[in-house]
Amino acid sequence: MIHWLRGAQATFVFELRRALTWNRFLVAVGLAIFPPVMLNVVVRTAFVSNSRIAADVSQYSEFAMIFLVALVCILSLLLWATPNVQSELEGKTWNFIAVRPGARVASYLGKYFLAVAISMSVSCTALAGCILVANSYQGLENPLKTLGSLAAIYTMACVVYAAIFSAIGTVFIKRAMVVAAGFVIGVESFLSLVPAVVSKVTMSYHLRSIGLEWIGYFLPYTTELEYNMTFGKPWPVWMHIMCIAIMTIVSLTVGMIVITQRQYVTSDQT
Amino acid sequence: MIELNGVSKLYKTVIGVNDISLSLGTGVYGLLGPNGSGKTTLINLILGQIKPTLGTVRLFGKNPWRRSYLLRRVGLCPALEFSYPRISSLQWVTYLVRMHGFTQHDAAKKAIEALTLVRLDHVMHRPMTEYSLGMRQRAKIAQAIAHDPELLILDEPFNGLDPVGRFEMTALLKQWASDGKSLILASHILHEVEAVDPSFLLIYGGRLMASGSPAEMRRILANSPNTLSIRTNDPSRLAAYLTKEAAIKNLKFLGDDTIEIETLSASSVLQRLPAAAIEEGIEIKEVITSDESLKSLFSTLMKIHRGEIETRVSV
Amino acid sequence: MPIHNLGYRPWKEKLTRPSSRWRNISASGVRLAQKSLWVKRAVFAAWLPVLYWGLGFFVIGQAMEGKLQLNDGGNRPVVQKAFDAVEKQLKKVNPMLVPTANRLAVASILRRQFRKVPKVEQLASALESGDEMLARNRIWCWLLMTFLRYPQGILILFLIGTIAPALIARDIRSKAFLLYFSRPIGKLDYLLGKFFIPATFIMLVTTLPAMALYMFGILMSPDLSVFWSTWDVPVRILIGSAFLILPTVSLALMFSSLTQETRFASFGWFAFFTLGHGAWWAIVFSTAIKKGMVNSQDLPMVMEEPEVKRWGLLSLYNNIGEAQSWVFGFSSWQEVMPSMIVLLAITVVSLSITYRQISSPLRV
Repeated sequence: MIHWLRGAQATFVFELRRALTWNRFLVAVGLAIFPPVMLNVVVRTAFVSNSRIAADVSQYSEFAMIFLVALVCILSLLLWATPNVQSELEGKTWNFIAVRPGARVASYLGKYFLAVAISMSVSCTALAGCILVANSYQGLENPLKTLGSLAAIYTMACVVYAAIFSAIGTVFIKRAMVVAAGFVIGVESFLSLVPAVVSKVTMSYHLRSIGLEWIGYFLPYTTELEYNMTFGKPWPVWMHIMCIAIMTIVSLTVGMIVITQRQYVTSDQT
Repeated sequence: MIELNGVSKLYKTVIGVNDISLSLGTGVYGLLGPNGSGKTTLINLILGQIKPTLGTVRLFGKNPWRRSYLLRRVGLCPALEFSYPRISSLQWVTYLVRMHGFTQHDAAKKAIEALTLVRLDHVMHRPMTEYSLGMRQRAKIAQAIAHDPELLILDEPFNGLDPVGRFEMTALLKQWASDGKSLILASHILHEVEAVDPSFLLIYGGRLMASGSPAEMRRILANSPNTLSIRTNDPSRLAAYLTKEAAIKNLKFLGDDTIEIETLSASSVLQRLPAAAIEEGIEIKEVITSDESLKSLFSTLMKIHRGEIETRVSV
Repeated sequence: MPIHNLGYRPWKEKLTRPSSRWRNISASGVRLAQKSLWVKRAVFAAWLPVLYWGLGFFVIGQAMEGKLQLNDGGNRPVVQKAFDAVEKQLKKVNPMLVPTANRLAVASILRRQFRKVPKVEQLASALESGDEMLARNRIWCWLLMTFLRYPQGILILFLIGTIAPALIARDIRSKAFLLYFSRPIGKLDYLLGKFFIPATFIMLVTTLPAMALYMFGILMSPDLSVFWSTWDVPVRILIGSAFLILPTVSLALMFSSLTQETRFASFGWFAFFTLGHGAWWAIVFSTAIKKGMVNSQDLPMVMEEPEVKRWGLLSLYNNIGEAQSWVFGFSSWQEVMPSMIVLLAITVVSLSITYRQISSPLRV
């Protein structure tokens, strides 16, 4: 285990060095500033001086912030977490890694940590920008608390979705990004809104529930009462966090098992 | 060190290797075979990268599948051409050595030593995308030897090397072998492998056709069909003499002073030449054999296995 | 006996036309792409909505057949009797599909059930107008427009994301350019050849099924005279498909040409789609907030607001939808001109960048 973690650290540093290019930096910056810019446009479009509407704007700007940052968070994870094996096979560098002791798992974990780190940075930067924008329009009640809560939620989102996407990347080598995108749309978006037990299997439901507990009701349609009647009252926060942690561990374990059991062959060898 | 028992590997309907059994102790081995013969598949089986469809594989006495700790003692230089943009060879080799469990400082030190050994020390801070083919090849070898393995497996290591590079590589490998370490050198070019004086493993169509010492291989080669060009002062008399005395399949006159002989046994012709020179007074100026030595070797082996040529075949 | 010269012989016969070069590139690319099980599955799945839409053609078509009089005692026309039998069968499938054969009832059902779908009001009005030829044409156009926009429009997001990213990126990485351009193949041939690889698959999942639906509609019609009121529909299908193919494939090829690693090309494709459409949704919600219309019934009306439509230019999916809406006759040129300009700009800029990328000198 320690050997894996040391190897993961080496992979993290190596891959980070590879990732530090102007092109990728610009992509990260673009993703990070997209939500604050869009939120600025959104709030300006919706903002009125009428105090009744201002209350809606306040609620909506929270939703818009969460929605827009979620977009960039998922996109960032799609880029960094899914092609963990594919990039090595495509670059024909898989063999160099696979013939090192424990390196399959170490490389897998190292790339996972990097995906989490980069996506977290992008998400938190975007969040900070959004809080600044939202606060400049209507003065949030407690901007630091909102930022802290949302940052924690997005950190959890990065941790669990990176694990899921990494596991997908070990199974579907060639179509990892497409399958992961399909997973986000089909499972995490649609299934999480189904008012049944199946929604509780999705991570989106748990993250949403934690958000409802920590920052209050932020969904722009239906009232809190209607929402609770449809989905049931949220569980205690620790239970949601535990579900997320279990899913993370299970996904990482599945990924590690697949990557050690599977016979990856570069195309030259078949 | 390495043991294979009835190993076969199928990629769906494509046979990678077919019923191979061998036992290799410490030493130097040349794994010879044309492209697509199964050399890389065999190497991947030995290293536990793929599982055999049938049979068992043992590396250092243990099944290498799911025992990646065995790979601590192995260094691999694969044949594949790769690219890591913006990464220098020092950064890359250091990373790979760290994956063996070395600390950053030790890994860097070992990487520098290995890169110096392969004469890349003056460019080790430059991105590898700026390297020539030969330099990238040497970087690959550096990563294979940096962690000081007991067994070094090189798949087509001479690819892209110029003659000086090949000479230096051969010297390096000979030094490696003389240090008591093991080496498996996979190639499709006979004379490259011959230079390190290995025991041969001849693989063709996924089957292990023959194995043995260099002398045994040379004996097969000498007795296999070959084409010789002989430049002489009297081609017609030489042709007449050889037709009588040696096993010749075909004969062609090229120009005024050269004959080209296709023979079933190069050694039978070559052995007659001194006699021709002495007894018949024919001047032999030059003898050139075709470069198809590996091709003719495998051709002979295939004929032996098909029963077209009678010879002793060990089971 | 003369000895035959079996050495190299130059080709003395006629060479094929230059157009065969890009067609060969496309054909080999299509053969390679279709080996993928996922692509085969996607193409198969793309035909499943045809069943649902085919049912729609049948049901609404039957509603057109003069079923204005119901319950006239025992003297129903033969067609009405036949339709009642069908109605009974279809009620088992989904009662909402055929609650009545009356065109007015059908129009109100369309307004109610499909209120979120653009242009449904125009369709319902055409149905109520009583002009059967107009109504049939409008209905078929509307069905095909929604077919191309909804199931197929979303499917091609994944299909292009599967096929297109590797097309040029892989050639750059493996230096296959040298193999192409050391032959008498121009850069335009190469670009056209690569373009038609994803375009072929898009046509397989959009144009071909849409044409099949049209033919099905003709076959399910009372007589062939229906063709004269709907002859323009196949033309619209072809043009609508072109609006779907041109900007999407150009964009995907551009991303593929900008990198050696297919994951960045895939990411670029998905990011462009997602961020643009996500931004538009954010604007939709903010406008809904401003108007106090934040509920699922009113959101479709909010989407038709001018300020929302202006921001809809951010979304490639919406722009294509607007273009198709014009193609199928549900929007005027003035309404969709901004979207057309955006699509044209995307196509031209993407193709220019791609052409420039494949013209760059390669270091061996």
